[in-house]
Amino acid sequence: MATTPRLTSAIAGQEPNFASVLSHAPEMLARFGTLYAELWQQGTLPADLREMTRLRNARVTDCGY
Amino acid sequence: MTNQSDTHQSDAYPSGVRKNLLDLLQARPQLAARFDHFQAAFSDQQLLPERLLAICRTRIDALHDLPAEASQQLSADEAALVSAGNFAALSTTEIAALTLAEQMAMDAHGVTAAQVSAVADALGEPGAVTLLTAVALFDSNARMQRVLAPLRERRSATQS
Repeated sequence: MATTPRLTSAIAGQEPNFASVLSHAPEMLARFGTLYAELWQQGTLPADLREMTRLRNARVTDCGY
Repeated sequence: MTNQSDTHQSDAYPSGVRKNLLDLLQARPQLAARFDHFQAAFSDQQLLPERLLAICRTRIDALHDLPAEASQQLSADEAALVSAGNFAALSTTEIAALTLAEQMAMDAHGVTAAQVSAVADALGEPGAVTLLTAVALFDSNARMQRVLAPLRERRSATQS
């Protein structure tokens, strides 16, 4: 599973993970959060369909998230 | 609610694949605006040279058999060389970034610690994080374009 970051955390005391590593570029991370919220909270697709496709995408790409 | 971020329109990538993608996303204008605003962060943060972003986008488009977008950062000759995988005239940093970009696009699981370290050493961790994110988006944009282009052609044929 490809979940071990190869870069350090930008947040003191936090383990390196998706958010803490992306915090090296905080403006980009903030905009990603806004986009992601739009996708997940304002979408026109049913929530169960979105979640199903997310899980399937993670499976076929061997992603541990 | 509309704010500045909702209406932001970047001119960093003025034509081609990206514009086509944004055109298609206009069915969801709020989503399109936020997608555009997110992608503009790669340039707005000023953590990476614009030329480096253009080089990586050009190579990834070529890997997906898409034409290179027009760019103020690259001459037509430079874009043709990068598209063809000829990096002889590029800097060490540009080659490191392209090596990682190619690996991500073709086999993300094959990315090595050495490839990431080479980019982080050259650009710093903020630059490396931005480059990795930008490359991921360039790759997904190219894949979406490959999928959506037939739909657009079919729509155009229906409307004509």
